[in-house]
Amino acid sequence: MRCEKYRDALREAAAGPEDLNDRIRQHIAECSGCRATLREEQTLFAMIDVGLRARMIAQPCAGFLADVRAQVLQEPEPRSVTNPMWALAAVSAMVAVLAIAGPWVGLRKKPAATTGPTVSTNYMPSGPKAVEAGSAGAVRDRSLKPGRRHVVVRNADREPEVLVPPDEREALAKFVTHLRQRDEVAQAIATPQVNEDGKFSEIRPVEIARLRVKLLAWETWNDEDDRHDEEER
Amino acid sequence: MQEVALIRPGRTAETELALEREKSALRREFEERLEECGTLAFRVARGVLHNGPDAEDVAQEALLQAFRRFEHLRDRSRFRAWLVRTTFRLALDQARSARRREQRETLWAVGVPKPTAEDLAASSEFGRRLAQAMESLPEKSRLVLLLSSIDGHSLEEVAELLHVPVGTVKSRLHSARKRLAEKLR
Repeated sequence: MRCEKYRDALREAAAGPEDLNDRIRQHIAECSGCRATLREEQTLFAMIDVGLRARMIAQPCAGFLADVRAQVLQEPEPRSVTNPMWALAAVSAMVAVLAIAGPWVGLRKKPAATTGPTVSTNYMPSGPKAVEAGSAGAVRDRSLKPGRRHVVVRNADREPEVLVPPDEREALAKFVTHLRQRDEVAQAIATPQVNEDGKFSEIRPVEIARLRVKLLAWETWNDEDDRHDEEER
Repeated sequence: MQEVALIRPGRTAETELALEREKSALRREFEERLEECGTLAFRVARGVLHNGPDAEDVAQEALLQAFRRFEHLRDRSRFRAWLVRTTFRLALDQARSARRREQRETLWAVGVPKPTAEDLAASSEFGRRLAQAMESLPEKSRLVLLLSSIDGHSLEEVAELLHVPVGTVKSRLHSARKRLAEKLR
């Protein structure tokens, strides 16, 4: 019975780094049974530690990392992962906020008259299409009469694709960059011309006799350029 | 015949080149992390599954998931911590489904993988009892026990991996070892 009360203390001492107090030390010195118990407990914990360490020194097979690399190569480029449920929730919240706050922030208020139509855009101008492209949820007036304010939502992410001869790509890229820097020029170009009688001037479709349309990947970009230069020569 | 190409005028050749460079930098960084942490992922999985081939499958899946989210995990310590937690969780799922499968099917019908040297070492009576005892531990304590058993992992490193204070690691480790001892007595 006397030894029983030391049992937990002995196990605790074997499990952890704590030293035995003087009273228990004195008992162990006198009691061979408790000395043996302490030794058993210490052996058990040592076996546990060794067993765990042995388990955790295992190495994967030689081809493991190579297999992972091969799998990674088949993966598409990493991109930010967005939970579709969160995206849906965010869109719903935005719609709700707009529905509630819309009338208060003047979205429905008739805008003040200006001297001519004003179109705000920051992407590639392409005649009337640039104006129609404001279908991203902004307040629009499809009649586009002079004296009314027409607003097209800025959509920085939108990057329209355009058919361009290979030797004019750089020139077009510079032109677009310049337009982005000079927003007022872009607005002027993107604004449809209105005749005196209030109608849009007609834009005839472009007529190109024979076209071969190719989608250029970046890898073939330079090769195509070189080939084109050679053909010209 | 005039040849035209479909391009995005907002993107110049420089932009495309910069994007390509960014992609290769991302892959290079992932390669480095793979070298550093591939074995760690395997060991964590093996600590749960007690089986090399299954652990490799789980570690591979965790590493692929890490690659898919690599834009968020470029920070070294964040990557390690995320990988350890994900591997542990995937390994637990795998162990659970394996147990369910074992209950459904007879042992002879399941192809038993050839044991490795480590498997044989762990298949001793004590090793088997130790594995059983570990499965009865709470998940948090179990992960602390596994990570601190990996050579060279200090308590501080385990704490960093699990985003918990060192004191928490110490107490979880202490109680986990005591529980194991109770099961093995």
